[in-house]
Amino acid sequence: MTFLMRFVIFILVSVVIGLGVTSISISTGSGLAAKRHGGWKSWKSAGHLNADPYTRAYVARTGQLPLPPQIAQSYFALYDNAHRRLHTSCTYLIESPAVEAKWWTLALYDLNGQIIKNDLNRYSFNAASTMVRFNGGFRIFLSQTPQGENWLPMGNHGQFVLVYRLYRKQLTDEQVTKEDDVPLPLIKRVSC
Amino acid sequence: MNNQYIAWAFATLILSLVVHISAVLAIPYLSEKDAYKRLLDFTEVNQMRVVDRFEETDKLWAFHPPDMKIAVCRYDVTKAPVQVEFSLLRGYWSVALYDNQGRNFYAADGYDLQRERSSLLLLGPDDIKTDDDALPITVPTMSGILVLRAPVDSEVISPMVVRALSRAKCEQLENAKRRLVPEAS
Repeated sequence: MTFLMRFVIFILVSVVIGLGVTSISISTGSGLAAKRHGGWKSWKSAGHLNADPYTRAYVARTGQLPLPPQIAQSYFALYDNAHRRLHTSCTYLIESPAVEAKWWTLALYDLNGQIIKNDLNRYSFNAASTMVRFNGGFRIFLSQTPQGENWLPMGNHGQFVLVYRLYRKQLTDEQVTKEDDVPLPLIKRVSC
Repeated sequence: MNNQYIAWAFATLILSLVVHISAVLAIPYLSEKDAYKRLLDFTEVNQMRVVDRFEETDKLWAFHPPDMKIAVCRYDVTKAPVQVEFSLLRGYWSVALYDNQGRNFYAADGYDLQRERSSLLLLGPDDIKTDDDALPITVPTMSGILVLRAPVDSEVISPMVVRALSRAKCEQLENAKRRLVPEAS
């Protein structure tokens, strides 16, 4: 093998590895930038002026314009609590204890972050529109067929992303760092 | 021969790392999905625009909450400061400012501002504050985006929310004073 051929292979392999690692680390959220909370994942510095480079790349690549974490925290789920990929062909139960926030919202999107349309034009539940249980928590069903309590229709789309947002009184940077323990809803697969 | 392979492998590792770091740093500038770039086409300079249909906001940026109305202003302080007036009727309504690379440099919610009617004065580095009531903010880049976010509890109050956002103003200040910048000799 000539030196030139080795050099070309060296360049190609390096570029493929470099871009591949970039793509994976940004779309899945490397441990440097994203934190897992059960089935949920959050980019703690998304929307922050001093966001780390991975978070900035993630935000630009996904086309988001987030509020800073001091005002609103967003949690994304691609998987249920048993780490199975979320899919509209299944029925899910989202179960949460009482939420300590001024406002919250739960919505589902396709993998590009666009709302999944349905015939009822019901796309999310929030602090005001959700029927709350006696303990202050809530249960929301996600499925294609009607369910009791709070039902978010899913349509027949395939894989989807669930996003849960909490709006609270403004936090300091230090409080944001300590927010890892915030209780988040469980995502349970009921049937498939 | 073996040493040669080790050298190539090591070089591949180093170059992969360089490509990776360069790509991560370049994505915010090159991404075509970037929300800030999409908003530029959607807005007029120094004019507030209310987006009350989620089908519209859905096109502007990804993962936008469907139960939220927004108003957007593309500010430009090149000629004069820009005054923004708005009401955050509920504590969790918010105002956020982004520079021309989509980086958030200011955000406040209703709890923070604690006023029925709030006023921000966006200043360039050479501008002098003229309005005592307005909160002065020196912007890091001469142009950028301001976003008012108003979560909607239910569709019943949606018209009220849209009316409140429609009353928001974003306009260039006519009688602004600008520091005299010494001419270069």
